[in-house]
Amino acid sequence: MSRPYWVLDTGALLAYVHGVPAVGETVVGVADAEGTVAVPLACLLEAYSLLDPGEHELLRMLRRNPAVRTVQPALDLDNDDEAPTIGSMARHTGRLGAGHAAWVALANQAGVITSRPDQIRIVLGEGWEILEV
Amino acid sequence: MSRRVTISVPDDVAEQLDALPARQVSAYVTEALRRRRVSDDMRAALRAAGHGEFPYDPIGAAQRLAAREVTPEAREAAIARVAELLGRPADELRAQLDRRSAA
Repeated sequence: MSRPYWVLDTGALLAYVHGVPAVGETVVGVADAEGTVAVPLACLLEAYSLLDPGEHELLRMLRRNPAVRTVQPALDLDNDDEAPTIGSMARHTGRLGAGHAAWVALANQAGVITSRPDQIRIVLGEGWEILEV
Repeated sequence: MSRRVTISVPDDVAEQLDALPARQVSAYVTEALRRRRVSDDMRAALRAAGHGEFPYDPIGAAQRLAAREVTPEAREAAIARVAELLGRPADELRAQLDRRSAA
């Protein structure tokens, strides 16, 4: 499977639910180009924690699309355990979702759509591709 | 389950289909329609969330995405930065990242 073009941080998911055009234009462009976007699990959970239950169905519709991939951390204790790394990155970003989003972005060489570019740039640097929403 | 449908297409599309082996035409059209359905479903999700209409533009979309790709240089700089922040060797971190991107 090809690597995702963009990683959707928590703020991007909220922006989709609330109709922010920049995120809509980007995700539809990814679908048109037959690409994918990645949703880190921590961001997904953060988004649900911030949404009204009546808005959950909108996120479900997005997640059902084949162009949207939810990414879970590798948790193989003997071979590849990403939990300590993501947690350590979150110590610097100040938010678990930002730590996971930055890790997924780094692994896939993908830009991040976020409402908190400051948190992402703390770990990935000023040169990282970011779309602020 | 499948069923036969009859459609009319422009000459250039008909020529494209004529160039295919007869047994592959249905699979070819099915794949193309399924790909388009991903875009249509995305638009439906966006409309439900109150977004406006977006024209179907796969070529323009691919160009816009290519213009905003993360460069290998930016990735290397970020790996060095994260390795320093986490107190880990950059090579070890890079190996972990490569395992993830290959998964």
